[in-house]
Amino acid sequence: MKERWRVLKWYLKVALHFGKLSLQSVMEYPLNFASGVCVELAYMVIKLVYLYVVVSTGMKVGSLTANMVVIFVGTYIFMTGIWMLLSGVNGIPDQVVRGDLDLIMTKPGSLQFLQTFGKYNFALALPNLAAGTILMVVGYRICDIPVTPGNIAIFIFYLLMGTILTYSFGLMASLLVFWVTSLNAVNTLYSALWDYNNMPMELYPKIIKQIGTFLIPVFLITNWSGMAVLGKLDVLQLVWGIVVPVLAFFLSRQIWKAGIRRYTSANG
Amino acid sequence: MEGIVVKNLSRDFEYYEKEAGMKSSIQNLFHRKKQIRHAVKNISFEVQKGEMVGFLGPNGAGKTTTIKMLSGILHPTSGEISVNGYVPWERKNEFKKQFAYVAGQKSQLWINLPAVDSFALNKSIYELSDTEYKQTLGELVELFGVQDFLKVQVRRLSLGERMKMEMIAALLHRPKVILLDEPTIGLDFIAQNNIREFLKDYNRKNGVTMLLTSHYLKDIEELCHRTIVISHGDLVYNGTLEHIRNIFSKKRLLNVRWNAPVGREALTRLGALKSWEPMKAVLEVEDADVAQTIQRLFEISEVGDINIEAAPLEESIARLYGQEAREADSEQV
Repeated sequence: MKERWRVLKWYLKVALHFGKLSLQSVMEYPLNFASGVCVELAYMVIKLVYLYVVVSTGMKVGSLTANMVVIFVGTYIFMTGIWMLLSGVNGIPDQVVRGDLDLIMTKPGSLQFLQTFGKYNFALALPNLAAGTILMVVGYRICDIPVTPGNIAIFIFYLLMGTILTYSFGLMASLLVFWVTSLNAVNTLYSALWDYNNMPMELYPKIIKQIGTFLIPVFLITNWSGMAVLGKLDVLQLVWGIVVPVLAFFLSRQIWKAGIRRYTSANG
Repeated sequence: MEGIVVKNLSRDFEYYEKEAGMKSSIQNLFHRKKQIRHAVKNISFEVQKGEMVGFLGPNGAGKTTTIKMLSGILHPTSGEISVNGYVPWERKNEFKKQFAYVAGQKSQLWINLPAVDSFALNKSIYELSDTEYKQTLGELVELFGVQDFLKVQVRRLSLGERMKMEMIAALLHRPKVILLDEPTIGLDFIAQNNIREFLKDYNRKNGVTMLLTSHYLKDIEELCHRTIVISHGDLVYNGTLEHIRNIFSKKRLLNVRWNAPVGREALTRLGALKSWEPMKAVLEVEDADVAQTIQRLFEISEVGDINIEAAPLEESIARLYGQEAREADSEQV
């Protein structure tokens, strides 16, 4: 137990150190940081315009009121921030092709951890994380959801499950580089799937909802926390929202191991 | 067991070929004939604890592949490796804390930050105490003489300065085994010399086991008592560099300078005349004939200066890489 605690502390310390160095790196080039932030803000304005139309017209999305939609769009923007933050995951294809995993492989600790949490892109992530958090809090308040420890816990819990799914799906997409050289098509497809979440799943026809929940469960990333706290999920759906992230993480771990066995480094 | 033991190590890579033109591109869509390249073929060798061994070979010989298998980066197709008692590709933390892999063309430093920030990251990763870290860093910085560059962004450093920082980053955890893959590549003469001096000193002081690959023969000549030569994946030689010279070169070069001009014709019958000027010449003769030839040179005219050289080592190594090596191999390995 004591050893596990020591190992956990090591992972936290190293992850924080990676975060600190990533932040220090962007601070060396503030203009690059500012331009990254500006690009993300421009994308965000488009998302917020959609939201403004929904809220100002009082449009209902399925069983959701316009105010409730704010929570879902906030969660979507927040999760986009998480996805942007994990540049270590997004950087895998380039690093594999260039043979840049070599030195990381020789360091103590899990290679998957050192690679996927080794770098963070704060410029693209911070605007999304900040705006997403604000929208989630505002949405929560204007929906008059009781601020109880239970509600907060369930919301944060499914947000965490969504984060695990974001990490796992992103990782699986990046790991395809071990089998195919160019991931352009995969990335485009994944981005398109991701954008299905920019509005609550209630907006879509039943068949799309079924596909996004069971076949390619991307809807679980941004819908489950809001739906859970609004009492719109039954027990089976609540359980499904736990099972899928756990399975996805396990699967991504297995694909990682299989991929690393295929790693031949550059000029191997 | 401490040190490195390699037994019957092989590594194959798959690839496929394509003829020129669209027709073969279309054919390849449906069927690709798989080819196997044997990058490393059944090689065995040992490196004792504290020994510094050179690993020589032409491009594509399998040096880097072997070093990467020793580092745990690549799995072998077959064979065994033990590095300080560990199997590298199991990548156990205890093993990773005992060795360092330094590659001249790879960087572990954060390029936008001063190297000292990357050192601090390694301190966290290797769980070094403040005392250990400060002491080791102080020693390494002093040995390399890089005090003035510690706070400079890595991207602003020269290649030589950057390589020194890479070395410091790799050695902070005081590894017992260091695998160096062309650490002096691209460096100027002074920087190469600095790195060599450091490695020699570090090996002497710390008794660290080192395996070094380099294209620069001087690296190996100055640093390593023993050399392993690999060519086309085969181990073709394992011994001293001096012995390589002796295997192939039974000839010596006599550099002679006279006090008075000497005609070309007088020299040609003594051996192969490599170069000639009225007052000096270079003559290649059989090892056994050296004494007799010198005596004759003195008879021709008054000799001002004479020295005897072995044939250049590069020539012998180049011959080792080729077919002759295979023949020598059967006797020498």
